[in-house]
Amino acid sequence: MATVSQLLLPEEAQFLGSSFAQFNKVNGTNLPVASLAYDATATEYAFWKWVAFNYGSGNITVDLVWYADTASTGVVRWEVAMAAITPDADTQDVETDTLATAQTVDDTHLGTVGQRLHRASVAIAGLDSVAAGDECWLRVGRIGGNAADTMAGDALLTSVRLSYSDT
Amino acid sequence: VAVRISADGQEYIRALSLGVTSQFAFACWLKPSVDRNSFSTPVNFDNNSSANSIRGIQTGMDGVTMEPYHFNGPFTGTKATLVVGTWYYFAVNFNGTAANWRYRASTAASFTAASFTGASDSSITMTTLRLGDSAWGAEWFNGCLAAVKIWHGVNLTDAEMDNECWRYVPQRTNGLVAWYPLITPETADYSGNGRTLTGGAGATKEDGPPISWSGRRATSRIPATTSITEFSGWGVPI
Repeated sequence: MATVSQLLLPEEAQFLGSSFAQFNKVNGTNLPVASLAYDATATEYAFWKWVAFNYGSGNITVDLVWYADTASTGVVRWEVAMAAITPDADTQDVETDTLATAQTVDDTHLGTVGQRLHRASVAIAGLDSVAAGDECWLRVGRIGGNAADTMAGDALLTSVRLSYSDT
Repeated sequence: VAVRISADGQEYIRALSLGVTSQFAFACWLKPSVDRNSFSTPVNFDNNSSANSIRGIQTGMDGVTMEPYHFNGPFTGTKATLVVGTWYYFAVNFNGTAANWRYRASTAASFTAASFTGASDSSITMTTLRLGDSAWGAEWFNGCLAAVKIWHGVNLTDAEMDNECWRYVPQRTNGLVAWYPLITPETADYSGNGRTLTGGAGATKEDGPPISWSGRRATSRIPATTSITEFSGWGVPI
């Protein structure tokens, strides 16, 4: 048994025509920081297409690495959902496919330094019957208008890390 | 994220010094944030004179009807009516006295194409680039700009125009002479040609268009018996 990990980066995110996060890059003092910017008061999404290489069974853990643009307190409500299609087997129209039930995680800013990195972790249970080798889509959103989301300013997502068992 | 121009004098300028040019192209994303009900100019090329030798795209006096123009006025062809607050992608070819473009709103399901004719001159002396204002001045664009790419001596095919839509990173490098992502107010030319902008004082940043940086997929390695991690969106294998 082994754990398969996949890294999804802001640079490769895709978007629908509305309610989208935006690519952002800050030239830091010594290194550039790329991210996706999610608004504080809106629901915004970004999407990644990925392949469930060697997926075995069980939930898929999604780690969201993020930092605050301007805030140093508050809570961010993240939402994650996925879709999976087995080529040659599923008859689902890919252009009308839907995402499985979304799951949320509330992550609290840890304070001290405003632009420190945080990690929000959520185990996706709505797997859309994923199987090894499936064509998959992952949607990551911030539900900024939710009462649980209290952090002011943008939440900047620097990476998404997937992990799952190959058995 | 994208650069927001909200006042006259916030435009970016670059001396191009590309000489007499009959064929060139550019692509960009733009969003009119406020209808000025006046000429509004996202992208302009000229010979540093308001008298002649000008190409670009600009709205009419209504502030929202976009059209390609030359020194004597707009080209003849079907214009684009913009909605304030909506992001649009524009790819524009200039070729002699003619021009063509393909554009698409972020909310649209397809590209719209149009061809234009009627320039008073068949070439321009491509001396100066202006982002956010025209050669005539005070025709500033009250809105956002991002992913500005400029090609010289070439025109893009329809497929190339469409392909540039979805990424900040240029897909066609042949003929590329400047590339300004404008993710934040900065002057750097990311094409490697050193055509650093000047100006932009007072420009801010706002939410950007719905496009990825590169669109490149991460690669993966599959473990045989041990846990592994994979990389990388920049195409650098571990």
